[in-house]
Amino acid sequence: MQHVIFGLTTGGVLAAATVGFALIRQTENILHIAHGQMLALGAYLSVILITNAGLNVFAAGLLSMVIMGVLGVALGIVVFKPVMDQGGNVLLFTSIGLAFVIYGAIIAIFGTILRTVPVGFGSRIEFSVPEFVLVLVLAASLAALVGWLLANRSRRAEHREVVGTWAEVWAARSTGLALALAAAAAAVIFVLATQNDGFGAERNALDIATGELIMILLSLGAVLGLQFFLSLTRMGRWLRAAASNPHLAAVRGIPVRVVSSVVWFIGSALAAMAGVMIAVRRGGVTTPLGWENILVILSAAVLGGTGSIMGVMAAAVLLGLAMDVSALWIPTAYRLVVAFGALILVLLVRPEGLFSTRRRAEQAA
Amino acid sequence: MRRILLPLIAVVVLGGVVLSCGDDDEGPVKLGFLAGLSGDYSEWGPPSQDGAEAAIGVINANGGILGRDAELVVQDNLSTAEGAVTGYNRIREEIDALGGVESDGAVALLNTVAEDEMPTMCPACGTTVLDTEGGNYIWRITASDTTYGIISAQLARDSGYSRVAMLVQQTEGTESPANVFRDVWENKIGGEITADVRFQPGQDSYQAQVEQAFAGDPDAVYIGAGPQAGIPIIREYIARGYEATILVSPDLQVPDIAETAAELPTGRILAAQVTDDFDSPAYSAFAAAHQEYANKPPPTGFYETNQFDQYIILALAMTAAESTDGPDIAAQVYNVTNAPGTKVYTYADGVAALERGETIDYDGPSGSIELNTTTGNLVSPKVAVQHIVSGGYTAREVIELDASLGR
Repeated sequence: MQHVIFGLTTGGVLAAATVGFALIRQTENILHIAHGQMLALGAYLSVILITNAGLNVFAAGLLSMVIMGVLGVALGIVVFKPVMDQGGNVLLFTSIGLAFVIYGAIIAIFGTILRTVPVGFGSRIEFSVPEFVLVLVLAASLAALVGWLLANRSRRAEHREVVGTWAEVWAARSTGLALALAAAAAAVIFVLATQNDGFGAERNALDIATGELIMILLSLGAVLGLQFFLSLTRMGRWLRAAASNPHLAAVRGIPVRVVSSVVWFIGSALAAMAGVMIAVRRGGVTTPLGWENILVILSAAVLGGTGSIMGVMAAAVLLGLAMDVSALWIPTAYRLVVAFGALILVLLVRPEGLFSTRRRAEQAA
Repeated sequence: MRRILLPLIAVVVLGGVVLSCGDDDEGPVKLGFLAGLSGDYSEWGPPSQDGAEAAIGVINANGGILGRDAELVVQDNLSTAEGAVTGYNRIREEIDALGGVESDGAVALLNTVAEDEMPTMCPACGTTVLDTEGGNYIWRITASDTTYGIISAQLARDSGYSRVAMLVQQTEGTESPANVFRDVWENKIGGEITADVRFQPGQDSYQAQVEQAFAGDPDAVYIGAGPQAGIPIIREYIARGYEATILVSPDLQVPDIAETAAELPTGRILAAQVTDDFDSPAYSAFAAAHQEYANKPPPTGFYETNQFDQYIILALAMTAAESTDGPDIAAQVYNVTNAPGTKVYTYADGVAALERGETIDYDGPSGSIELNTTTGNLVSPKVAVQHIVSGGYTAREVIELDASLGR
């Protein structure tokens, strides 16, 4: 049972790492392999700010996000903009090249030694299995409600002809997704709980550290905030319009360059945020950090499919659960094998990803 | 034209060869230091290099080797086997002998150094491959992973434990002693393994693995991991309030782990580690040399004394051989380290005894250096129980290997 909480924490951190990647992928059309190194650089920056500048972890994380966001904007303009029209392969290998450059810079600047993070997880919060189930169902219901409200809001949006169909599809998906997730979680919890005596009703059956809970909430907040930003703000609508058809968006007067910079800022800042959380979780950072994370990020993004930020988050959480809950039956040495095995299975059935809206939108068109 | 050109080229080439040979005999004796200055072993890199530099300083302060200065040729191996092979190829033509090599590099270079007749010292190799494969051109002057596995099992037995779980990273250096531990624990001691959890390194969290290892309520948990995985594992152990004793592998006996576990009561984390011979006159000479050449007192637990001893042994072997050729050096290694002979603790005393025509038996700051003449391994490495006290590892009592547990 405790493994479900481990999985949620893993999935939460992975979600923060993946949504930035997915945003850049969907709007700039770049498979941004250097995202892993941006995550690592953000982690290193925060460690330096904590250990050398004496900042607390939240201030260090925020500053790191801002710095990495600005760096992301600069890289978008200097490195990617000149080759933006050269096709996917050129963009992909530009990003791979950039990944190696950032990796080399990390080694040159910070060295190759393990840098520890003197940040603890805080006290542990204990609760029973029924309490945990209740929280999950409430969270899923809340997500469904938010999805329904967003769908109604989108119908009244002035740019409905550009974004209406996309948003409606997303909203319907997220509602169904939230309910499906709640049902799946409840089923898993029921099966697991029945394996224990007393149905896990004792007060201290489960626990989570305060720091881990904060990580989950921050990830959730970041993803929901991004979704609100995309759905409810003018910039968000511009951003989705530019992603859908940049030339048409430019003709309609949308400032696509500004939109592009906003994407790079948000994507890179989210990478830094994930980096900080991973550094705290690991208790330290080493130079392979970026390479160790990019494949899992890539798989979560592919699993989630294109067109849905919430879908990417759901895929990340599912991957986290798959990796940590599978430890109950499968040796943990195969943790990543389980994750990638699940990815292959899903892609065999749904090559466009679990939560892709693009294919349905294309069919509707 | 060709009649003139070919002899001219031959003269130039031969001249170059003759000149370069002359340079070799008159220039410094070059001793390679091929170690992980970056990557997984980087935490050991700088203190290891300090130990090596101290040895070179001592050698040069006492007349050098055969009247020539000694020079350390430093090459990073990136803490990988591939890095060791690449690094060795960069310096092989330049050096007279090689030191600093770790397990991965030793296994990768085992045949190459033999083919090259390159005397090679392993001051920090635990790999079980060298239990049987060394001895001609490669010598190990520290404990084997086999020794660590046996000693850890012995430590668990002597602590009164009967149920032990294992949490082991799937890399050669960590699984090697862990597998010996399990074999000895189950088959020689008759103990129970409640769980054997293996994991891949490089993950963001090991919560599930820690939960599984401790789920069977073991008396102790053997953790074999590198520091990168060890830190989150120890943090999780502390956060979840487990009370089973932890037995850690040699790779976790580093300051970062000790600082992470500083809040735990003394004795909660046990380690078996080779220990220096602090009471030996060799150690006080080494400490003084380390202060002089590295500008700081020596740390402990980083194989710094073994790094020091390897170059003193090579230099004494060269002196005894009156040569810097590989086969000549190799033929003298056992003669300068093993009894019988005049017991010497410093390079200066060793050289003086050799000049008097005596045979010598060198023991250094790392302890007694008696090598098995078949395998090139230390006959009886000195191992001590280590506890974490005030955020640092501290050696407690020296333990003798129980011969009945040997494999």
